Amino acid sequence: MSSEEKSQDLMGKISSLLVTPWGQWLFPLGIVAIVAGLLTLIPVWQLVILAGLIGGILASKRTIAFLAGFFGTFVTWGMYFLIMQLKFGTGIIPLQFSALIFGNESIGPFFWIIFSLIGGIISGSAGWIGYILKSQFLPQFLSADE
Amino acid sequence: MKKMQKNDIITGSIGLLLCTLLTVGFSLPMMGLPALGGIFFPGDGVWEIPIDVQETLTISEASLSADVTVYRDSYGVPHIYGTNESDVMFALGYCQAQDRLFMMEMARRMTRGQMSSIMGDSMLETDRLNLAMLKEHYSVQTYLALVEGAKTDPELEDVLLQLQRFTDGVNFFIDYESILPLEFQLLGIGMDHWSIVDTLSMAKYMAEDLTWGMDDLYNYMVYDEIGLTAFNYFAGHPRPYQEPVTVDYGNYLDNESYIHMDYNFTQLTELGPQGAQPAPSSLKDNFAELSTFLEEFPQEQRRQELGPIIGSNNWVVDGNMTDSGLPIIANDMHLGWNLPGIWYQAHLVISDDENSLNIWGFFLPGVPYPLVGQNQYVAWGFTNTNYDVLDWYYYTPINDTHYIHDGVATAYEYINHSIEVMNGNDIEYQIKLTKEGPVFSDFLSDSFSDVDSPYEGQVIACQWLAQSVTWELQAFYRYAHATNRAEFNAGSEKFATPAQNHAYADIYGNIAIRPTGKVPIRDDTGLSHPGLGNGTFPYNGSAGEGAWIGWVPFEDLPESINPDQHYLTSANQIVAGPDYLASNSLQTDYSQGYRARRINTLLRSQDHFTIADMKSIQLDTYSTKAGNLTSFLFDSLNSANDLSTLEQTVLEMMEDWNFQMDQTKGEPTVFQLWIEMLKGSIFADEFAAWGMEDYLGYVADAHIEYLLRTGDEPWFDNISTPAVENSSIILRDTFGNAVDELAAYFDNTDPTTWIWGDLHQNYFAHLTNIPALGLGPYPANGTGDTVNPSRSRIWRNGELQVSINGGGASERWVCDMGAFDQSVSVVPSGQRGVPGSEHYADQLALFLAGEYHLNYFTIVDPEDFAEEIIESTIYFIGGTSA
Repeated sequence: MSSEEKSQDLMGKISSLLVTPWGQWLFPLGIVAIVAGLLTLIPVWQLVILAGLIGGILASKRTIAFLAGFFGTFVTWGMYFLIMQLKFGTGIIPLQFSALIFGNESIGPFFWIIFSLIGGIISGSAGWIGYILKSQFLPQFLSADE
Repeated sequence: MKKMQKNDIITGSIGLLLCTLLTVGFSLPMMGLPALGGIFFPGDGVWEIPIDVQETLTISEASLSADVTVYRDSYGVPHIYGTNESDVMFALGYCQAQDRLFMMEMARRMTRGQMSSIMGDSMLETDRLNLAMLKEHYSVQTYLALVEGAKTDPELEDVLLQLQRFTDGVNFFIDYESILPLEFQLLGIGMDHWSIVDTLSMAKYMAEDLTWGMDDLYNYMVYDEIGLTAFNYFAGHPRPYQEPVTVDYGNYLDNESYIHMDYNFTQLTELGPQGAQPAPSSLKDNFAELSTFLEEFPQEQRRQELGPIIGSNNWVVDGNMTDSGLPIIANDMHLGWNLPGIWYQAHLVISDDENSLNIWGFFLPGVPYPLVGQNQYVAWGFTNTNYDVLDWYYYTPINDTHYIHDGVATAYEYINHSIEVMNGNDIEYQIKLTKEGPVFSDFLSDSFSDVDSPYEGQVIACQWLAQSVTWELQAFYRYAHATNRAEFNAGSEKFATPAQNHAYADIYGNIAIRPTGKVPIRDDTGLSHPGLGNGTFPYNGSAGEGAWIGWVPFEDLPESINPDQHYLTSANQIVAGPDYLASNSLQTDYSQGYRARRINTLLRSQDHFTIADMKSIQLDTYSTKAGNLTSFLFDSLNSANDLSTLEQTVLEMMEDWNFQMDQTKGEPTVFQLWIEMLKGSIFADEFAAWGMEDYLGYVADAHIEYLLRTGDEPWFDNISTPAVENSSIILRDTFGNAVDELAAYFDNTDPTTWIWGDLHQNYFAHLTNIPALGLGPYPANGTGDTVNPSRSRIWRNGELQVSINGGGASERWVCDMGAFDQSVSVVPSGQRGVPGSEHYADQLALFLAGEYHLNYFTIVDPEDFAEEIIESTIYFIGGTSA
């Protein structure tokens, strides 16, 4: 098999993977995770909306648009918090902030989950917006949905 | 465009709403909290704050002439090795900024009246107060004088150079570190560059902490009620049982007949206010109005709360009393506690072929030389002298631009400031000055005061030593470079304020102590009564009273060197005995002397001392007060025939007491409540008759000791009852009341369970007072009068309360001049001011356990620094681009 044929074969496999039920989920979710991860390098957290929008544009269904945005960011932010705590020892900060707001540290250990959830909801909501925008302005890419 | 379906509209709307609400909600400050997204979400949040320093860091910096190595030891203390002083100063500035940036920011902003620039207009009034103190003005003036002096004086030129290199190091960190500590994030502020003026302002910061006050105003208010004779009876000099700091000017212990104790009780208590009344009768109200206004500022409240604990201990023994044959010096300075603590420990080694220097000490963050510490030749420690360097004046006003000074209509002078306000316009602020100093009564008459009752009284201004160009940084520079007593003295000559008892030791075997600082000489001629002078009361500036006409010459300050007793002690007591030419003119206040008496007793108790012995003295919590006063109580109780079973049980417990204020015991609890109640039992009736119920604090416990020792009985009679009480009755009744209170409070009749630590605890607050960042409270040994001090006041407003103490030893240090490798220290906090850091409060654990850490002073070659004690390393590579 020539390299051109190999390439065509690979693309074919990817294309066929993307139209499978799993592929329809994993592709936008992966893109959201990658974009959200890259955006942590930029000191403007609000850009996470961009990750969600891209996920929504790539999603084939409205449900997938939200969930890809949500889980893509939730997982990425969660990993970010974990890595930063391990790298810099900053786990003490949410404990102190919890004590500052609630009078004790008990909520602190859950802050990273709460913040990841919030990031996920923002990104997921942006996914919806992205999906609707796509459906309005790029109808040719619409799949047979709803 | 495709026609939008109903589902799309709903989904899009929900998505847009959620996205907008959450994004906006986490991007804006709300409910007093900063924008949470900016703090916690990835990208620009707090997760990358360097909680602890990197294990190894290499920094290239072209401005360094050679390489510098910084080893931090297991407590995070930097040991900085370089080949010239200015490179080491750069590294020190970097390290201090790395560890204490927020503290430095707060200290300079507060001192220089710049809080509004980072916290908005809520701090405007605080800024105005701090500017009115002229700390900012004279920090700048000191800088200008330093720059001018450096043009002709090589030493000042070098001081300026070192300050600049230290400043460069701080600013290199600010530029280098992209993420500032948590406190900056919470406040949503950045950090402007550090400046030499910021460093110079730290001297004003310390001067405020230790010498600012409104004592003259309070004294006048008391005097106005009770008269001069009674005032001098309670607050005159010398106070009872003082063992002076210097030992060459006689001793008060030989004679208990103090001049001011020569009084007629009946005349004093029945005639009421006497003596001269030189001032308008409304003056007391003016002073009360001003002091009440100033008391509302948190910095004043903190000063007044901590006032009784602020002090220090230092002592030095000569080589006749040590193993090494050379002196041992010990010092623990008592200040308000904070996290991070006030002191920054550092070790600087400069291996210059011509001028090698090895410096270890306690630095004020923002200052490049230690205030207390040692080099390879000399060591020195500080305690506060309480020299009176602040006077208040009142003047007759003429109009907005003129007042009467020394009988002549005189125009005010002015200093103008522009106060930067965060999120607001700059505010112009004009400070009005009399001949003596800034006018404070303007605070009562301008827009900040109660507009319904405008101030119409006398003009009130103050003159304060810190309101002048002073040379403390040059003094610290000279201390750090001193190689003998003469060179150290040359440093002391430059030390103006806050005046300190300088305990001194050197490697040649000398010990010395000198209460050091500038003291004004007032023109007290023409006062209507000599007792009104000496800066005790406010002066009538319109009559030309109390002008500062000179300074006590440095060589005339009391001093003791190599005394026959082989030791010297200071613990904020009176500085000199009756033979000193001006024994009553230097201080208007000093401690009751219990700590000094105890330290001297311990130093007299044996003829040989080790570092362990010195640690033991620093940690001593024996109550000299209890040891001296309880015998009178026991006599009273043993002669009584009406003791209850519980009182008898408590008495038996107390009679076996060793007078240690041990947090695990019940005896200290009983004694402390009894002595606190006793003052009221003896004096409350007379003070009530004077209308001065709130001023019982003017009576020292040493005064009670004096009454009991001398059998001065009239005070023990309760003048509000027809019966005539004596001391035995009062002591016994007070004891009964104390026992009843404790039984009720602890809800049991077993006095061994009335644990001192349940009522007396130490708390270490964060600078911001955010509870989550503070530590404690911890049950505590001692009281404010024990050598290891921890203030307690458990009887407040007729109620038994837990006493939470926020101040005490701010460092402990023992240095053997013949065994530098064994020198030790500890601070009640940690090196690093970053919450969550391993070194945020690691030394606090040592401190609470009465332990110390080694200073590693003798490691002068970085190659000798053992791997196991190196926690992290910074390599500064000199002569290269960043």
